[in-house]
Amino acid sequence: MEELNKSNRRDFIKKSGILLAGSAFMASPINQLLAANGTTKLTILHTNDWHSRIEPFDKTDKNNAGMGGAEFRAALIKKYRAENENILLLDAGDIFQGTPYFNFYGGELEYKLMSQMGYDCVTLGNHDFDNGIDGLFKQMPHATFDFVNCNYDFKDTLLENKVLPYKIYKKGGLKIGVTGVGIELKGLVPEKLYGKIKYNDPVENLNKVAAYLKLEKKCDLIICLSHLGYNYKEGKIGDLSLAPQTKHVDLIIGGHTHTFLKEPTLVKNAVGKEVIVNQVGWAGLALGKIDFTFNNQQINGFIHTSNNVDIVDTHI
Amino acid sequence: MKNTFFIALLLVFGFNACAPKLTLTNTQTQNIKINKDSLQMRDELAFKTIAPYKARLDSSMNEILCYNNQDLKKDLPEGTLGNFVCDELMFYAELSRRRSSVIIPKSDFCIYNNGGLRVGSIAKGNITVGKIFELAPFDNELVVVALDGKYCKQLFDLMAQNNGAPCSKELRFDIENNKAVNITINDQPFDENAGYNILTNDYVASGGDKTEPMKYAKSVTSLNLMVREALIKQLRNRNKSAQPINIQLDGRIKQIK
Repeated sequence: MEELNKSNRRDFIKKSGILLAGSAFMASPINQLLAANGTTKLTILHTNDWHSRIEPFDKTDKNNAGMGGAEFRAALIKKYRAENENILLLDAGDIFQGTPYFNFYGGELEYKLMSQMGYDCVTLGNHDFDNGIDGLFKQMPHATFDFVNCNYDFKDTLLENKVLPYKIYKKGGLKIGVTGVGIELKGLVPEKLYGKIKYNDPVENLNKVAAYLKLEKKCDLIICLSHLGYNYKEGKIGDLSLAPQTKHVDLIIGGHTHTFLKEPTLVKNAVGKEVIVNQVGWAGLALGKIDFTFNNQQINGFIHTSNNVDIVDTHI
Repeated sequence: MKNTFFIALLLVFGFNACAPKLTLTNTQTQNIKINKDSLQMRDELAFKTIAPYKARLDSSMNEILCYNNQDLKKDLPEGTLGNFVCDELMFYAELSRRRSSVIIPKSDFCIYNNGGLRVGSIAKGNITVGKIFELAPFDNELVVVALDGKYCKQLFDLMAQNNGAPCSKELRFDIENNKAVNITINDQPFDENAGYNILTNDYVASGGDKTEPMKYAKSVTSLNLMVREALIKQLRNRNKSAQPINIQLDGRIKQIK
């Protein structure tokens, strides 16, 4: 495993070698001293496509017996909170639908538990509309976290001003801009459930919001919660085709396709910078954790390390 | 002069130190399994929050609807589970139609998508509400689709191509070279020039599972009733009237060589 980490690290340094070498020349002793003092760490924890899996999978389940479960996820999150000061806890949508908990309680328990775990922000998936706009609106008082999406037009619906185009979080002196993109609802969700919500182009709207967050709001990190899906054969927009069309997004946290990534995918954006794309399957079976280290060294590009000591089963 | 330079230097670095421009230099990632056995810990607050919801849910889910005297299995071209679902839906839809204050057409037969049966089997023994939730987790409604005979034929051929699909006992046909032949409805020969009312779920009615011919529907009438709800109510009725489930394979759809 140590070997694997080293080789990943080496590969990535190789990729951005020129940029790093350039910055090494510039680094004076004074800068290094400032760097040591000015280091800030931020940990992003994330989930997607929980699908109301409140309890661990049943003993009789073929693939996931005993796995998942909100009380165990909450414990893991608590452990990381004890270790890290600056944490953002995020979800990429489809919190609702999949077990009788949703049929019976309409998502109330899901939102309550996520609020207790201290989720900061979520985006909306197609199944979050399964009880209609009303059904979603009704559960929002149980949520202490924010809802973001920048490519649905909620005008003249109950969700207008309830789902924000972006939200800025301040952690340890860092400004983190979080936005979200959603999948086309037509053909996926009955029209009577999503009502007057209009779907707009995710690329155009994400770029607009991300540029605003970076250039006007001076965010240090920009995160997109995406419910578009990881990757599609042709035509349809997914996270892997979205990332190269962006300029300011640092991290895309995906959902919808229930993709278990052993490690995040790194994709070059429109200006040649790496975007991290991650997704952790579904059903609360896994938690994604990404640690970002910031300091005042002026380098271009970053060193990326993957620690997959606990690789998730991929056969779902 | 020397002093001014020093102050200037101090200002430059001093300013930098107060408001440093932070740059992302390192990222480390790990995708972690949520596995209670390896975690060896649970969150008490979450556990306590879930408990009352779970207790209420379990008491509803464990409600015994009726006794099932055989293993019901999902199968093609015909399976006992598909026969069970479609026959029970036909029965309850008719009951519900008669009671309804709105005009709902009388269904001639029921069809269902095989993929819509979300369990592979229901074992002999008591059927609980929870089992029906597993069988039909989605909130699909029952609808009656009025369709011309020629489009019905296209639909039957589609079913034949897929080696059959769940249907109620009123519909019978043989599959020969991927086509539906010897079709009868309510023991009458199928008439391509007639119109038929098909009971199904709104997923199939809206063209789900490639049921293209459905787009030529003359009308689609909702029963305002979810599939799951209909099955639960129907099984409760059975229990009240002490009628056990008795489903046979009756060759409603079969391959002929």
